[in-house]
Amino acid sequence: MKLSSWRYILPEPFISLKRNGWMSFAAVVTMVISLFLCGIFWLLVMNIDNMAYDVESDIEIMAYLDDTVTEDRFTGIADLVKTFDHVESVTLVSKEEGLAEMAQKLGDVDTVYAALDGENPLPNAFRIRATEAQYVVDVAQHLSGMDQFEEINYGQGTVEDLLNFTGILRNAGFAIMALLGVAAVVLIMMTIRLTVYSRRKEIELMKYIGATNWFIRWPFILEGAILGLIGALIAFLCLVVSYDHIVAYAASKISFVSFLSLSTVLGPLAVGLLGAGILLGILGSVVGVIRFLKV
Amino acid sequence: MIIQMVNVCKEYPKQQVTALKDININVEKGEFVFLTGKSGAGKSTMISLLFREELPTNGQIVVAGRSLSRLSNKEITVFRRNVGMVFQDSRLMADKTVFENVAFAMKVIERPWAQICEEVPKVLERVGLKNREKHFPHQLSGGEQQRVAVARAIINKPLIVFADEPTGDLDPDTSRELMGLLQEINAAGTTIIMATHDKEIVNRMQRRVLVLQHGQLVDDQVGGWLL
Repeated sequence: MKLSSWRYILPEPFISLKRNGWMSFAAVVTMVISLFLCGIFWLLVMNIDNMAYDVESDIEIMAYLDDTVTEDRFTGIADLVKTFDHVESVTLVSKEEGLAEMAQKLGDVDTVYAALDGENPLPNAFRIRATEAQYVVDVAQHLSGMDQFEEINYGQGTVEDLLNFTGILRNAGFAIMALLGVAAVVLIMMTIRLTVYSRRKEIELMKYIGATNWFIRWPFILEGAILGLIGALIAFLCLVVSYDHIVAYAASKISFVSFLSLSTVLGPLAVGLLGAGILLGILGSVVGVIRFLKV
Repeated sequence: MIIQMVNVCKEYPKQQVTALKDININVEKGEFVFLTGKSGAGKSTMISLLFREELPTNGQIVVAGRSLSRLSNKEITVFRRNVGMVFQDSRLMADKTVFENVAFAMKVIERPWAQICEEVPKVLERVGLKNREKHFPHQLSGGEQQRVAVARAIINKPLIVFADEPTGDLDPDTSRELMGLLQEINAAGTTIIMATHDKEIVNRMQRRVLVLQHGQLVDDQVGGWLL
């Protein structure tokens, strides 16, 4: 392709977008609706994932030390536990700290001390965090094999149920998202192919006159990219505007969960939508043209 | 010799149709050849083979020194730049002016703009559409539309022009004018192969006539309508 040929190619997509106004409009609308739906669902899945992560990251293991373990061995044990797989942090919670924490939780510190009659029944303990929630059970099992610990507590039973639940929620979200994505891809590609189809005579004619395949393809590729870009931009703007409202509304109804702020999702959302829009527009055009180039 | 067909057969196995059977012809440079026969005799198939739209099932076709069965995609493109094509329906782009329609054929083969601006008016004058540059196809008569199609076919100075029933949609007077134009183009050295079933035109022109019947070449001589 000669450089000077771009002079003929570059204006073509704009001319034909204008000329095939209704087709272009239909393609953009399809694009906006599909990408908007995908975007909404993506945001939902991201929020679910975030909430699940929030809940999961609160999970910690309390490993209560045997009373016979003396203070000088604490550091050694902590260092040993730190070498285990999937252990993120090990914090010592001494008898006194444990009591202070408990008293604080119960509210009235003096009453608690008074009730205990000056005795501190709590053992020394380590508070251990796993790198990821899914490893909590593994780490806990490992710890229970050590003589130095009298008891390991991580909310047995509850944690497993919680992890199951968040797992299902995540998988369901991603599955629906994948389905929606496939539907959007098919829909967008079909619409773009339709715009190409409506101009098959023109493509055929170009072939008869002796145009190279690339000379024919480029305007369609650019047109597909422009349609994709416009569709994705509109979908993106709609999502940005509605996201704040939806989050504000949801937050007022369900106060105990934290939603992702717009600024955290803005970047990936923009990249994802614009990328998908442009890519699908181009792909639809290329696939659409192939058939008519074979004359 | 500009066109040579040797033992050419064309079958459509799916439809179980043999469109052309054992065709052997030679066409010299500068000839004007009519391709006649009833509908379904194989005229259009022959044109589409010569234009390398389709490949023959059997046999060899050589056009302008190229064997058409061995052309790569790129070579097909180059080949088509050396031949012109006129269809029964003029196949103009409805939303482009006369100038743009003709210029399109030059743009497609990546000619510089200055050359386009110089040559399109010349060719439009040659086909008698000097003042029609800015008109759109729907503002032209059928004959004028076909003249634009001829202008588009000859703008790149092809060696051969294939015309598939170019007068099919025109009234007798307009047909005669178009034939006059094709004759002029032929006189300037361009070989013309024209499929037609217009008896009057063939009889008047007294050129070489190839007669197809059920896919077979039944006659080949200079003169009038032979069926």
